[in-house]
Amino acid sequence: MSITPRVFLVDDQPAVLKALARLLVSAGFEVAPFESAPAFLDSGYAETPGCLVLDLSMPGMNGLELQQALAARDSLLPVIFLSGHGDIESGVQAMKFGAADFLTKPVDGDKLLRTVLAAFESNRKSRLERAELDDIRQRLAGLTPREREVLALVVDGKLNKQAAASLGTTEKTIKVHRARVMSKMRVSSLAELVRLADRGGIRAAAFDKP
Amino acid sequence: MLDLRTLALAAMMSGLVFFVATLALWRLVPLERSLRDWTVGALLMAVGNLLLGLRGIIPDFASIVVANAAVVLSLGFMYVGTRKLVGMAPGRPWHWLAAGAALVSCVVFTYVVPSVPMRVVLMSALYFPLGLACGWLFWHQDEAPTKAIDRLTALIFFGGAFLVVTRAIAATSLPLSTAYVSTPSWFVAAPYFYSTLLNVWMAIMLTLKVSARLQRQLAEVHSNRLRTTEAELRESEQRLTLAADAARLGIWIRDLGQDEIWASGQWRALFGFTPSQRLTLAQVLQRVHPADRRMVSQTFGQPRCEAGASEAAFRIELPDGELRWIVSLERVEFDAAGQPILIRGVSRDITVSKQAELEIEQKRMEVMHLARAAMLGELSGALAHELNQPLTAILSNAQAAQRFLAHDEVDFDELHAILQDIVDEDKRAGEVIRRLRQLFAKGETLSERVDVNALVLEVFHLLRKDLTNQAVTFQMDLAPELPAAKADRVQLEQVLINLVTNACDAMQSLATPLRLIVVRTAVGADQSILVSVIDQGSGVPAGDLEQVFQSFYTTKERGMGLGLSICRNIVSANGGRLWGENNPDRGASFHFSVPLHAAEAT
Repeated sequence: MSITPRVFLVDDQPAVLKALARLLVSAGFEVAPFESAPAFLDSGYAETPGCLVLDLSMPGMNGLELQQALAARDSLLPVIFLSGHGDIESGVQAMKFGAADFLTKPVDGDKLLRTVLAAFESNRKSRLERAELDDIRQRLAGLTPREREVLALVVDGKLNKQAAASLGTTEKTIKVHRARVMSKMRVSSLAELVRLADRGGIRAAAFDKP
Repeated sequence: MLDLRTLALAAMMSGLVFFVATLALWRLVPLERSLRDWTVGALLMAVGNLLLGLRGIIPDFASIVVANAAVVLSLGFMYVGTRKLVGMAPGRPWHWLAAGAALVSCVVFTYVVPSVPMRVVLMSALYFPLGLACGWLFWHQDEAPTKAIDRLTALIFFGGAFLVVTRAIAATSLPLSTAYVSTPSWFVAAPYFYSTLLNVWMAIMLTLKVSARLQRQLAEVHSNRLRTTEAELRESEQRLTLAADAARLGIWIRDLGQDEIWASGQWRALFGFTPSQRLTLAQVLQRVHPADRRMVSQTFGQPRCEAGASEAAFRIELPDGELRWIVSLERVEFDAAGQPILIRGVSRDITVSKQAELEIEQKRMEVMHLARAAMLGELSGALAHELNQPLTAILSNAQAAQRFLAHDEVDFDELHAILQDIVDEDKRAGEVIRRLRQLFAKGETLSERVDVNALVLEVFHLLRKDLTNQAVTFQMDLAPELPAAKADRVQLEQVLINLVTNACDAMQSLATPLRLIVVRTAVGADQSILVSVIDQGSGVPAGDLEQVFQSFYTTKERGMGLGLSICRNIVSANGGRLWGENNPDRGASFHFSVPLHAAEAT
């Protein structure tokens, strides 16, 4: 069903690019090499599964700038930085922007492969999470405004009676709404509903002051 | 036979000859003061004889009184002349007194108490002391070359004195005939004979004496001049020696005929020889430091056949092991046939100045070394990166190969390619290290052909990472077909790195798109190559454009302030110039020139 994750390599030094690609290929990874940051951005791979192995300093757009550009595009690709000199300042900045790791050249093959594998794993997880969240959001989008209000009050821990009172309706009506919400959200217990609503970002407070 | 008048005339004529001779001598040799008196004496003698000879024709007063007085006066003048001639003072004017006495006595014994014998006796009394004195003076004259002449002259004077004494004695007994004019007795004739002899001899004598005296003076002048020249020579030699000693100059002369060297005391002290030691070329060469010996023996050992001086600086080693620096200047001298006959030279101890010079050179090299070390520190980041690239590629390639080998099916083509890449990258790393070592090497300034455009490219490659990190655009504006420069390539590279690094630093506060460095190469004026590094920074405050080249002047937080001062030193050592100026719009430019390589210069 899903595409094989790939390692996207970006380095302005052709010899280094080639060698790293070989190493990753030898370990059985699929590799896509790029000689510059813009070349990668233009390739449209930012949304695909895998990870990015990125040289920190490059002419034109450097590694940090590419990382920020990807963040702006909401890309989930973990970024592994390679740096020639152990430039602490750049390293700190890269980690602040959410880099997966920061390795210094020359990099040991096993270490790089482990890091890549870890990055793949984290990418897989975040992609799953992203998919789950999308699902929840879709289900939430299927609710009517009245059902959402009921949902908010229910996850807030209000009893049907209290909810009816605060919405100015009968307890029976609330019960009907609540059953419909449970079925639309495809949950069977209240605890499950609370968890989904929480992940979907629904909070009672959002309705306190309409 | 001879009558009185003929005798008187002969005496007068000889007196005239005497007069003319002395007059001519006096005019010719006015410096001989006695000749004036002799001339007057000769004239008076001639006049006296004339008047005497005219006795009976002219009045007695003239022929007796005046004539006798004139003759006495004449002898008196001769006496004065003699005194002067022998180098005495003129003495008192006895001759005038004698002449006066003669005048008075003649008047008395002619007119008042006429008596011929008395006249003769009195006249004799006046002649006698004068003749005796003259003879005496001549006799005792001690002038070697004319001794015979002086003696003869003295004898003639003595003879005269004897004659007048004889006449005085005879005058009392001899009767005087009135016919004495036509047939004169010896008594009457002798004075005229004597006078003629005296006149002729005196003329001859004076000529001889004056000639001899002139000859002697000439010889004296000559020998005086010789003596003076000799003294002057000695004097100037002493002065020269003094000056040479004061200047610590050792003087030496090498006679090419014999293998022997004469040397002044100063020179011997300089080279550690004793003052009396005999010196040969081999001995001197033995003193010269072995490393310089060949050069010295070539320069000074073989006399060249062209004129002109040659100079050489070399080291000598004294017997006690002391080392001295000597500068020696020599000049070959040739004989008339153009063959070298001797070599003259001076040597001077330049140990102190040479040591100072060496120390300065040492210091300069140390500073340059320091500068290189400092630059290496600054460049270490870039160099580490340069080394890291090939190392990364090598490690990754090698580990990839290991993994490929572990696969079931081994792709040998791939392995081959990997190994080739490893070799290439390793070479690249080696090249980086070679460059690094060169930059770090401590060496003297070389003069080699430098392709300045290639140099700019190399500097760009070296600094590429730094430039990239600082987001500086590096633009190269290189002149096509630029001729080679004559300089030390590594040093020029250092200067260029320094200037580019400075330009980067100057633009740190600038927005990244504006950070631009232009490096321009061009053929400059007067056979040079001009390299300019142009930045867009804030420029240099106008008053500081020269100050930036001074040591320890810096505007950087962590700068030592040595960069530009060392750069200027380096460029000067390479025969060029380094200067800075502000650009008309913004930023500053630093330019340096280096001479063209000789083969390229036109």
